Amino acid sequence: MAKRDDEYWRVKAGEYVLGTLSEREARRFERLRARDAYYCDMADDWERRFSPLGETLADTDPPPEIWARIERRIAEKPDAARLWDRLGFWRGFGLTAAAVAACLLAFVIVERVVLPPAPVTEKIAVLSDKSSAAWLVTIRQDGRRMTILPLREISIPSGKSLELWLVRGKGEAPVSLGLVPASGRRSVALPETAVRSWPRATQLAITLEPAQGWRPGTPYGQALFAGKITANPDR
Amino acid sequence: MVHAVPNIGTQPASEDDSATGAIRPQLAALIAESAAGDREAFGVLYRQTAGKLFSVCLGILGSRALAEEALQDAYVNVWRNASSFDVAKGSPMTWLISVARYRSLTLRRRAVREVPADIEAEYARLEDPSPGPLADAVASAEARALKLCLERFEEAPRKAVLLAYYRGFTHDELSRELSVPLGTVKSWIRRSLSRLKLCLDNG
Repeated sequence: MAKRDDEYWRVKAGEYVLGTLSEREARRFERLRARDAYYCDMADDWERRFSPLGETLADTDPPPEIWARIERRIAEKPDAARLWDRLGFWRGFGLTAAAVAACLLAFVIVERVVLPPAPVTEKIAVLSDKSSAAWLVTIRQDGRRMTILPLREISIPSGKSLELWLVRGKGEAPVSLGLVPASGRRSVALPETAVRSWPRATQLAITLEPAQGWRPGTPYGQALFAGKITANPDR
Repeated sequence: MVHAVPNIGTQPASEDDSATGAIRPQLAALIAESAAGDREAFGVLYRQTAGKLFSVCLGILGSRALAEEALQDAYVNVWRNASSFDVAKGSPMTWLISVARYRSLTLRRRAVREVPADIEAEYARLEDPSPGPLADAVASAEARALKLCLERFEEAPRKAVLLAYYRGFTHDELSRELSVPLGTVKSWIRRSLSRLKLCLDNG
């Protein structure tokens, strides 16, 4: 790796920790921080150094109902959606593994780097095979757009493709959401049939289909990955 | 006025940042117990630290409603991610404050924030030099070092750094609020960070 300009990055990390960077610059630094312990250490260092500014603030008692609300939220049963809150889950794929383990605030970074902004994301689904989580699908509030993010390396046999399905209640045919890429984050607009189907959607599933000649509207191959659709826990 | 009054290293320190450090391991233990699912321990952690974190959130968000939301989110995050806390990488308070700050900064970016009209009064309170030697004695060594280093700065760059930390001002907002060009603000912050690092490393 080329020699990095320590002084430049130390200052950049300090600006990030102070919070003076624009949203775009902050996100850019977060992506670096999530991937590389070098940036992680620099930011951790500033967090430690600036911490006394916060520690010497006088206390302000929060209203008593806040604790009740926190208790209610932490009492909710953990489900698939909470997966992303647990660091172990993120350690399972290469994207951030090394840096995540090294960072003081690993979960904050992972949450912000990997997930799209919360207000526009209403539903999510983590699709797994027998061994582990493989895809993260986030669905925008209006149900018209979704983002598909592979969480680990997925190999597709040649001549085959992966197709994503919206699974509804018993007796109802699944709705095709189109083919999915084997790598990289992808955002896709959804057809009207899919938009109308969200209220009764329970799961998302990915099947292996012939690359050509897959029959639109009907899953043909076996389901490789599946996961429940849940509300975005970050609301 | 909803903002807490930040005094750099001069506020009577609460028990958890006592110079003896005796209470710190206790916070770390409470986080570890929370990680194991102990809600009672988590409740104790909340009672010991929520006042501090609420001040942090209020400062950045400038609104009680938003600060309450940030505080809730911060503790829910603490609960869910307690197992990722590693005392070797930072003190419990550093971790907790950072969780609250990042959550507040995120909410702040989403919300349209009303900047306090009386910016001069804000500075005055940031730099209120009041409490005496006793308070200094209990404040941590780190806090004293940071205070000494910041005091060596010229006034304007110091204000910019403090407003950024306590109020979450971006470069653009600092430039607007302090009525100086964006380039000036950026170079104040950069130079301050470089000097701060040198000063803290070398005393």
